[in-house]
Amino acid sequence: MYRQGIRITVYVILITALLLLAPLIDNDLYVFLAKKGIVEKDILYRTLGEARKVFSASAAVTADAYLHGGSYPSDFELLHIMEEVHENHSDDHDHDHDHGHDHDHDHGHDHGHAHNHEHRHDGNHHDHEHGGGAGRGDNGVAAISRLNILLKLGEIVNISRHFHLYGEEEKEVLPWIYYAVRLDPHNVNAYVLGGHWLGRRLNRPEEALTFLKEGIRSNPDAWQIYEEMGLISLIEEKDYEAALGYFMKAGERLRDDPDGFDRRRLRTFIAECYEKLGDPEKAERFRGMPRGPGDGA
Amino acid sequence: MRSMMVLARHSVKALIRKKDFYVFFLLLLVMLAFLLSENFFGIGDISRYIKDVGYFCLWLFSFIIAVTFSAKQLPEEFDSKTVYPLLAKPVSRAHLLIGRFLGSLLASSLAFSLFYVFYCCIASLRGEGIAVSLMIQSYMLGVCFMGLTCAISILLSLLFTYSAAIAFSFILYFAVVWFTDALRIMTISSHGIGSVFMNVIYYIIPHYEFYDMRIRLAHAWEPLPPWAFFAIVAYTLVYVLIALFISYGRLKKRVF
Repeated sequence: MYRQGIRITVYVILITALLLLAPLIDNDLYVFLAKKGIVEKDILYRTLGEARKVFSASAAVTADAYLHGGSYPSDFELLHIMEEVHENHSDDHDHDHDHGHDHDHDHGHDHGHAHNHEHRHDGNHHDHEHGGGAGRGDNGVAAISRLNILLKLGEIVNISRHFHLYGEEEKEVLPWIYYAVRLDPHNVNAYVLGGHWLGRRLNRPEEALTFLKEGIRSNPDAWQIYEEMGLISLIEEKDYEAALGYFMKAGERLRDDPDGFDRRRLRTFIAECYEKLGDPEKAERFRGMPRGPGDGA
Repeated sequence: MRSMMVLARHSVKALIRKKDFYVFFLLLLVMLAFLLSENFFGIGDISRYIKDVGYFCLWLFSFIIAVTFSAKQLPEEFDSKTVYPLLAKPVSRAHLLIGRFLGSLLASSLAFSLFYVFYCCIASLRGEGIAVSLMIQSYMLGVCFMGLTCAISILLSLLFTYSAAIAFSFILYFAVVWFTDALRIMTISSHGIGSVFMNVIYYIIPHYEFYDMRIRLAHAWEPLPPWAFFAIVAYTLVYVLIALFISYGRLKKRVF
């Protein structure tokens, strides 16, 4: 019995160590494979096959849902909300539909403090109701008869308020972005999103550039990733030469741009870089280049 | 009453003897430990994905235990013929049914409770933790969910074979969870006779989504308002009573 106890203890310690080391080994192995440009050898890649693209897209959607406090209104709910808005408009109710879905979070509040439970308990400033007005109740609940208790409960239980994470809370989306690119290294949008959150929202430009460089290894022709690297270098690191280099590379790789919008945007960034580098002539040249078709200006 | 409690205790002992509970507990342990060990971009204190995935796992495992355990309570009695000596004693069919239901409820609630305690401990290790009021509320709703699941599984086991009852329980749960939002919107938007029809369907289906507090727990939303919480508990009691009543009707007609 004594020996059995020791055996069980040893097994438990080994299993615990394995559990704690496994993610570390797995992550390091993935980074190693990514650096070598052979992510196809990754275990998830090989296990899931093409189905990983579906899971990758799902992970990216989950990241977006996390940004919205875990609940992203379904298409049915959005349709219902839009119908409510339309009804309220046609009834000439006096409400403000400029909800200011303030994605820059410029509410004029002191955002230096961490967001905690209290904000949500207060029906906080970040809750922007879709379709306000007399058609909806206090919690944004649709006008359902009080007798229809189950429908009322369904509305209450379902979180459908529009809410965004802010500040350090935004780091909660990162695991899903990590898994999105891990499952599909060719998911360029996930790389760009990850670079944006890390570099520009969470103020970690070095980690962002490292992450985006991994993306470049798997997607060498992805101009969007170069553009994001340029933006991080321009805005966060203030390394204008590096930013210029990235934007130029993005421009070289940009092919499919029927309305010229992406190219015009890149030129604006390049002009900004030249401006910061003290070369106003080149800056003006890039600003003054012929615009593409469909340009309303 | 005493006979019902004896039957219930017997069911709890059966859970402890079975391996399912230990396997699921170990799976939960593995999953949570793996999630806790992950490091994303060198940023610490990321916790919501642990709470989200962890709660989903504990919910799913508890649900599986509740369904498989409760669905086999009566069929096992019938197949092994142990129902004869039970009914020969002064144990009525109603007592047998309620005793088995209580036993399934106790067993699945015990499993859920242990998983939940473990989950709360892990969730508190990192990040913002979970508000106590929300923790208590979601636990109580979880127990109500176990009761509803057990009652429906027992009913299905009297209508179908053991395997079919389990399959239908799972299909019903996932169908409700995936489509109930759309059904609610359709019910609200419908008019006239269509509205009556949609409301009838809406009231008949078991609303498993009322009990799922995963998003509130993981993303630090506020708890449900007290009236909603008590309404859900009352709904559970009513639904369980109706399910047991229909089960009793089926059991009464059964010829042994």
